[in-house]
Amino acid sequence: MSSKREITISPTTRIEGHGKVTIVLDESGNVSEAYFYATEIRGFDYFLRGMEADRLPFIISRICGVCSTAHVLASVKAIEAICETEITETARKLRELLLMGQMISNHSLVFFFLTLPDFWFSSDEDPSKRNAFQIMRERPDVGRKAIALRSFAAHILDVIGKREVHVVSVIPGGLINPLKEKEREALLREAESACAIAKEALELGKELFEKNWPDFKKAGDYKTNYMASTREGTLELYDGTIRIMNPEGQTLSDFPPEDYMEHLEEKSYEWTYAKFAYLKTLGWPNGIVQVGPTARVNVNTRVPTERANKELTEFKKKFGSPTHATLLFDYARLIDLMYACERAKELLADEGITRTDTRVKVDPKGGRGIGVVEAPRGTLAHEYVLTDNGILSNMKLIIPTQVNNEAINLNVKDAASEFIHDGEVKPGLLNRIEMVIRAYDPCIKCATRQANQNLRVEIRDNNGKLLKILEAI
Amino acid sequence: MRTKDDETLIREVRAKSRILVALGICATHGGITSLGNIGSAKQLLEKEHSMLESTRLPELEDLMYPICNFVDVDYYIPGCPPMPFLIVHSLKSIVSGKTPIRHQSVVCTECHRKIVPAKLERLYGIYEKESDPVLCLVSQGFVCLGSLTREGCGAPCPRAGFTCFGCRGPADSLLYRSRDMYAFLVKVISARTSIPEEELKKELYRNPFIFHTFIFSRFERFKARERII
Repeated sequence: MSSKREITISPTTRIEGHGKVTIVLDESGNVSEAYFYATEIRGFDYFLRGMEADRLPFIISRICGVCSTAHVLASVKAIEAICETEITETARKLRELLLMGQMISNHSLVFFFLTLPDFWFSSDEDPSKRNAFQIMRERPDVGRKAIALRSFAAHILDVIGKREVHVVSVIPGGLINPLKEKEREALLREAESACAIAKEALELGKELFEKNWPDFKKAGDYKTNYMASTREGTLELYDGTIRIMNPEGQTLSDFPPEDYMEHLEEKSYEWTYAKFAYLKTLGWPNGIVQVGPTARVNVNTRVPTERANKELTEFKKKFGSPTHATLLFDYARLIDLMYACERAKELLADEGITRTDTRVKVDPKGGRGIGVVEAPRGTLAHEYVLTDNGILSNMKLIIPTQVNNEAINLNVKDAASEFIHDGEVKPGLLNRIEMVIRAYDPCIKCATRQANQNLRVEIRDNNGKLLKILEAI
Repeated sequence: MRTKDDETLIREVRAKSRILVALGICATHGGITSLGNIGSAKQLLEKEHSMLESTRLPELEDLMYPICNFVDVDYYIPGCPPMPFLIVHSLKSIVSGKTPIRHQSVVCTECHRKIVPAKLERLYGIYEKESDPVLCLVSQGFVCLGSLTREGCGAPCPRAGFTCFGCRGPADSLLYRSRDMYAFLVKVISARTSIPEEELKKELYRNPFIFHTFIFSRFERFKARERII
């Protein structure tokens, strides 16, 4: 086979939004390039210009239904940075609790519904069975626990945010509604059982991981820089400083969130609507950086809660630090989940969280401000420029999936090289590539602020003639 | 939907389905995504136009449409997002062959707040002052869209002290071609705040975002009305 070929996977399934992958083969039939791309754009950055600042947070949350809370928090933090507002301790706690709700909701979705089927079933299992519903059929108890964890998260968002998706109570200056004592007690009880479920999920995840590790190790391990927010080496999601670590594990820089945009640069390619973010000082391609669960465990040396810290220590002992294997994202995500449950319990156990001083007055101002939070998929930054009468004149968002974008491409290429030699495509390619992409849990909607796109594997020759289509199920 | 690919997909979905339900305001009315219609595809991409010549990406159309522009839709469940109980109720009814109960009136009917005529000087932004927990938000000078928006959500936003922003789309009474929603809102606010209509017009007509979820592309008002849940 002497011609160049292309393999397209469209759509990639079990991720947020739809994606598409093209693998380009060189003349001898080996992998030369891999692209993971987004095929549409909504244009949030453009049409929100001229918007009044007080409407921004709840419209911006519409960028994505899955991590809407993280977007709202980043957005109000950016507006507060502009108006130089200091929120109260109570409001800070409630917001952190909301962020934990966001983490639990996302991570339990990703673990139980999106990635678990890959670990649970062997790779030659009938693809029509390889899904969360089949797991529920075989083990209804696992299904029930998954739902219980999700509903705990939904309750946090509903009780404090006043809506399960697209919370409304978070506004610049704090929160509209304080938490009532009765609500706190009810949530605390749920938090206790959530911690127990998270522990079981961790055990289950570890067991399945152990079983599959020799195989998983091969699924791409491109070495890059890592970035996560931290409080002097301790995991912190809501209010940390940003730390960047190089592939060897040395800290490259520590900087406050206000300087975020000075450290990151965006780049775009003609084949995708999602932009790529990289470190400015190192340039392209040395400055390729990853964020997300693996970055969080690499950058931090300890987790403030007990059980999660134990797991982190065990993780580091097993895989070293920093670790690069792509599929470790799934393992690290469980440590995040454990932390989020424990932290939520801690926050709810504190009676001070029900104080009623949740709101301070905001003096509208113009200027530039940045809000950074650690979203489920990694560091999320919103930068706004407001005019003096509170109208948005410019906005720049750097979304975790944009940061991971290049790493996803590189690891897809790595993983594909395992399966494609001299024009021969080994079975299992489709699933493995999807697993790599799923590990990043990419949110294409956020990265492009786009409406929707599609994924299927097409094999074409260099004249663009379609040779074969592999459909994902 | 902005590309040929989307159109092909929705036509395929329609061909393969007995009942097609549009879920969420973007699918039913256009919603926030249709705000993209204020700029051309080129403007949306700003400085980076290279994607437009790309052969790897589906071509962008200049306008976005809700799915009813391409195919016949059996039921519409608007909302951003539609409340879980609304989805469950509708699915149950549809599966058992019944028409789901329709919600025709406005959010105010589900809101506990008391409507009282007030005397105010101007309108307020939602974080400019704290809201009273009992009084209607419009009476307090906030631009709440509850009086235009379809009920069925249980009014979670006004209950939480946040203005309704119309995520359920317009109520039945506003689906006649002769109804001007802007004028209607101006009248409601003026009656409850005693701010002169002229001043309100100046303030509200300036900002198209207030109605973002009400933007209809080619929503077939009369035909569709009976199918909105």
